[in-house]
Amino acid sequence: MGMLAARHGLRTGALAFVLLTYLTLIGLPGRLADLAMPVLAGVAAIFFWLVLRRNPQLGGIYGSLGGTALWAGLLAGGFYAVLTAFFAGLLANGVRVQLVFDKIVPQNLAALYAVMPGALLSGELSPVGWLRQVGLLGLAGVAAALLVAGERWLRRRELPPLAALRWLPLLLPFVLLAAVIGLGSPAVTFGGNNQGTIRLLLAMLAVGSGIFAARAVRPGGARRVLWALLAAALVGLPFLLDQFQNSVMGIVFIFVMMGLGLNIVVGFAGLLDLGYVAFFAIGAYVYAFLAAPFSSPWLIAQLQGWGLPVSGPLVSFWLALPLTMVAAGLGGLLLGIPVLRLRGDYLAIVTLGFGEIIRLFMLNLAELTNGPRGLLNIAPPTVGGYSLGNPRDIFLLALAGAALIALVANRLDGSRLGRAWVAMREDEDVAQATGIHLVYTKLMAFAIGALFAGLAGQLYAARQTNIFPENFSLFVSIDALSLVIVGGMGSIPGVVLGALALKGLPEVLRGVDEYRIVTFAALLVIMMIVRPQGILPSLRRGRELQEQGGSRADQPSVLETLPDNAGGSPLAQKER
Amino acid sequence: MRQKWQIAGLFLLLAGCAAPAPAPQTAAEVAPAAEEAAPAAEEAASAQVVIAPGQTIRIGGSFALTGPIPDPGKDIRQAAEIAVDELNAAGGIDGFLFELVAEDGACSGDQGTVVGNKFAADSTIVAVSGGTCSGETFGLKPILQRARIPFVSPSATNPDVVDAECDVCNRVALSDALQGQVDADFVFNQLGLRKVAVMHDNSDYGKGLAEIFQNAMVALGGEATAFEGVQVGDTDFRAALAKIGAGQPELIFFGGYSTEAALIAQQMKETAGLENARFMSDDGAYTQQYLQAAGAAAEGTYMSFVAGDAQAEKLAAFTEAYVAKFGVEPSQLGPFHGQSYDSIQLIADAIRRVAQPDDSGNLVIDREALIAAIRSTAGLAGITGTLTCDELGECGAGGVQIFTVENGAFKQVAGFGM
Amino acid sequence: MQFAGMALQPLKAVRIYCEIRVMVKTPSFPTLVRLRQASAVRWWVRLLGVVLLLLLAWRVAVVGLAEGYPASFWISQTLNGLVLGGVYALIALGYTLVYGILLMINFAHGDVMMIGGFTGFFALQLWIGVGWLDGSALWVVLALVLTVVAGMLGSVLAGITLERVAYRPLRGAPRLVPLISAIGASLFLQYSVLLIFGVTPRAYTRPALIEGGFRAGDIFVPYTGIIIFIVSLLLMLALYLIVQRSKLGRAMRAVAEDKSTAALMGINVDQVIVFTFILGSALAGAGGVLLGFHNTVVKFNSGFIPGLKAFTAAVLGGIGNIPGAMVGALLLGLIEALGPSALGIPTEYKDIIAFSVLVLILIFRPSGLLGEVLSEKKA
Repeated sequence: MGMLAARHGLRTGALAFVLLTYLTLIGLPGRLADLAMPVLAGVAAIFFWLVLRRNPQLGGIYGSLGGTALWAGLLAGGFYAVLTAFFAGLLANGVRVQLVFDKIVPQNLAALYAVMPGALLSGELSPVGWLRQVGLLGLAGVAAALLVAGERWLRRRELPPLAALRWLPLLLPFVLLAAVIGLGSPAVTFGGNNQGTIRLLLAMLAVGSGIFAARAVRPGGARRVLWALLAAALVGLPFLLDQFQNSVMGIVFIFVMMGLGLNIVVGFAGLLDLGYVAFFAIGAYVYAFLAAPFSSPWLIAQLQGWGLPVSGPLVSFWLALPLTMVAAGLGGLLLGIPVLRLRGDYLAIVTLGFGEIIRLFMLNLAELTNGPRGLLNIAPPTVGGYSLGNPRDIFLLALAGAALIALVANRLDGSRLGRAWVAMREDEDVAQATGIHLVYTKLMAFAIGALFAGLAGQLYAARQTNIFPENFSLFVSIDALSLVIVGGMGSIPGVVLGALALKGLPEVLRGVDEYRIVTFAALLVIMMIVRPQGILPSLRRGRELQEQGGSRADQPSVLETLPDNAGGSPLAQKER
Repeated sequence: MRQKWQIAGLFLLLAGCAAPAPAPQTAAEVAPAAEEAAPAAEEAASAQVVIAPGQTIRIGGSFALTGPIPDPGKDIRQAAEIAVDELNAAGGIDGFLFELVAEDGACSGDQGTVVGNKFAADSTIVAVSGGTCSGETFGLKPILQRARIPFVSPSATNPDVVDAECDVCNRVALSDALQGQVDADFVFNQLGLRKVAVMHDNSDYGKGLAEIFQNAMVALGGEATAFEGVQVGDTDFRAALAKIGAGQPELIFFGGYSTEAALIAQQMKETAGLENARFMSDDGAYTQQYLQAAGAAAEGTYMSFVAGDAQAEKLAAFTEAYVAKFGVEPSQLGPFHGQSYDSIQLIADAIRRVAQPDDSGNLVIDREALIAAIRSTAGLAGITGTLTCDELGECGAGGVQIFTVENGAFKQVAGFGM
Repeated sequence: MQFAGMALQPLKAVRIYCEIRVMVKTPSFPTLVRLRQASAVRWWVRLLGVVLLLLLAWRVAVVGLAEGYPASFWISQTLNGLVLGGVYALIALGYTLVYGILLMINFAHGDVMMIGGFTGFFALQLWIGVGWLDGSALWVVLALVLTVVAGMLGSVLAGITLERVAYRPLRGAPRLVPLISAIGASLFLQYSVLLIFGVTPRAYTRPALIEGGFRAGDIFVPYTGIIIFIVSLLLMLALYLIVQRSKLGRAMRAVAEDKSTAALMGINVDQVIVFTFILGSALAGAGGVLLGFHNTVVKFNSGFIPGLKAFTAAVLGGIGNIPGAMVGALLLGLIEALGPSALGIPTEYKDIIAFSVLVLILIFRPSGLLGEVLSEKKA
């Protein structure tokens, strides 16, 4: 038993040490100041807990479980104390560690000992500082062991079914909405946090939980009432939020529009498109040409040649809508025709290339697109002289656009074309043999997907008022694809959740600006490992994954080990 | 199914037609309409910022912390922090301390919009320092204009960043127009070169400067044998250089940042036709980093920089504080720390002039008065020189200096201050 | 279009369906569908290809050659292209290896290369600190080799960590899942390096031994370029031998063919996959260090664009095919170097040319230049 605990403890402790070292190297302690060590210990405790609960063979808080946890904590603490002492020693001796490790500065390390940087530099460190590190991490191990033991104890007891709890997910969005209203006017600093950000987070959680609620309610009269209430709340949301929150929600829903379009291409038809940004860019640029011809040297020359005025937009936002959509749809066909015969990853790289080609053209055709200096002063949409260019109205427009696209996508999903897409996704050859016209079906997927992206692009251009080629880099494609996959491929509500998580959360994480992208990237990987079918998978897709999951012997089904998700989606309930 | 499509199509058509399309307006008509409508929709930004005792005077900062040029962005942010520290060490304004609210503008118009909206929604933000890049600043500009928050950009050098219609737009960086002119003049008249090749990094900054330089050169009577763009992040320019080399230019001018400049300076030595050509770049490349990366190839190359009067003492004090806090020389990271420091000082100076204590011990700052105060800044001593704002919001001091590299260090050879 | 009539006869359709099911499940067997596709469409595509080629030739003759560049210019551009292609090849081989075994795009491979570049940089700084670079030529060569080895070790460490943490738990998941995980891993590596080592680019110091280059008239080849080209050829040869001749290589090919059957035959699939990542990452690490010496600068995102290009090259040559990756990479390098001058357009368009060539080749040869082996299986 002792050996088992020691072996497991050594492994876990070493991993925790690596994690803590990473956090130190990226400079987190310096950011947390005096809270550094407790927070790191908390992180370590969560890590220990996650590792230990996966090892059911470890038994007993006084037995191998407790032993492992204590070993792990003390070892991680010991290693960590040695490492920090080493760095502190180097700094005290005047070695410029920063030349190698950018974040190893006195400020960062001193936070770990809860002393001033000056004390560190003069080498006035008492052994208490190191003992504190070892002790806190040891405590983290004990806390994790207690957590696991407590969890097991809870598991063993039959919990009485709480009928009332079923209503909780349905009420949650409204509770959150009430909290949004309750927080009132935004952006007053309190407790070192920006209240506006908390409000934004709550608003996003409200939308997200609303989707879960909409899926959780049983069909019938109650469903209709709830859906109507949720829709009303969603429409009311823009009027409750301030400019910053509306602007973030606006971009989130523009990405929802884009994600819904990409969902058709990738989720429905199974065509991996890594260059989806091309159509977004086409939509944005076509609208920009129409609404701000005065920014494009070539267009000015042309218009002057025809004796037309060049000082204002050529057409209104609304008249431009069909034009941009047609242009983007044509772009989709243009991409679709050459790649008809390609499959899988070849398709991925060609579409990626296509996206880059469009961006490079925008960058280099300076006569037409004004190159890197972009098209400026794009007119916002107007209704009867009233400008809809402010963040709130853009959010409303994005909501309307997303609703329209979701409606069309939903109808398409069940239509003959939609079923043809699914058949094609599953097996092209068989689909063709059963009489599906592959050329038509593929082209329709590309064209419809592109059309929606064009629409999103136009709204994006109207929101930005200035657009630059760099706005349409490969990362936009990656964002769009990631949100479709994180949300759940082929699932329309999943796209909304994905956009909230991927475009919204980074804005909430703004406070930790530097760590935004690493956090996001790590979440992406963890998400794929823990829940590859996405937050809210489409029913069909979820079933497919389950079938495949059955053959994975080395991996326990992820859904079993996952704690109940907040909303209790119907799928998760069915599987339990 | 077909019917559904028709319905969907009809719906779209309706959406297209339902709104009575207003007759195409001219830009002049559109702009005021947008301005009128906006305040009605947003919460009317209060005309005054009231700061209670114990609260701070919050200055927003839009810095390019991520994106294509994180190094200069970090430098600008850290310089702004030094300026705020210094102001606070001196007691702030009547005991009210300053606070820098740093946001990541990521050097993109996209993020600039988000950051601008965040500042506009935050009623405690008094003024903004930033953005770092011109594109980012274009994102900030319309939003801050509507929200009546003045901004001072330390490093956005595109000529269009400030204009006659924008009263909140200011900068302490000098417009590219000036730098390109002086550079061309130096090349033509002092170096006596006629055939140049122009390169740029396809950023709004680099390409704009390259075009200004090219035009100025041609206007003087010189010849541009090539105008080639590269991508930020590329590391192999040999193919482009070989092509340029075929035109046998006497000098290559590069508009862009230090990494690419260093690589071009190095790789042109290996290219046929360019062995004896000289190399010149701009203030984006005037960094220690350029010297390190280019190594021996940097010797004899020229850099231009917009610098100020002899403020050596102030600069030395600033550098000392900067190194003490961040452990790195500011010039290691980027060229614009002086401007960044000055942008904060300029804002603080204007706030000092308009801030009024009220009866209950609050500090009251009138937004319109602050906008006017920043514009009327005159004779403020900064690191980059004596700052005076003109009617467009150009507050930059000093002029363009030309440096050459000698024994691994920059040495001024021409321009302002000589 | 030619299949419109097929669905009219249900019985026939079912029969064909069954036939196809059998055939599709059997790789390397010409499928019925494929036979039926040789039709009008294909002739139109070929006609289009001929027209495009003619247009291209016309453009080269009228614009490119009319500029009157000297022959030495074309030779130096070709050499530039070959060196660039050599770099792409070192990365592309890793892509192709992993793809061949796991059928997944290791999107983070370029960043693994970047980590090799960083490790090599710090190793080099250490040798400089110890003073080896000031010693005799033997010491310098030893230091250089050790730098490359250090870079390879760094990359290998990153590669196997990546495999263990981000890819292994996802084996058997649908193909998009590991791709997204790889994208996440790519961003994570890039921005972790940014946070840990700072934003300042690191500049390699070239020892005098490899400074400068070989000059003949107007043609100049840097020594680093020659080294890159030779090393990439040698490494490719070694890789080819390992995969084709060694026992492990045979195991790799077996796993590529069919994982579960290979496991039944007593092959440790996990071990083989880890070995694949070690091979691929080691090549990338060598590439990272060599690129560091050639272009002197490494920074946190310096792996991303070469990685993308190398991936393009791997697809160009037929992904999963080792000589294909080499050929594709050299071709891509040549196209990038020669294309803009030959067509008489600004060099900004080199990426457009590269990607257009990719699209065109895939239209006319959908499995890539040498990619016959795996294309059937990926249906």
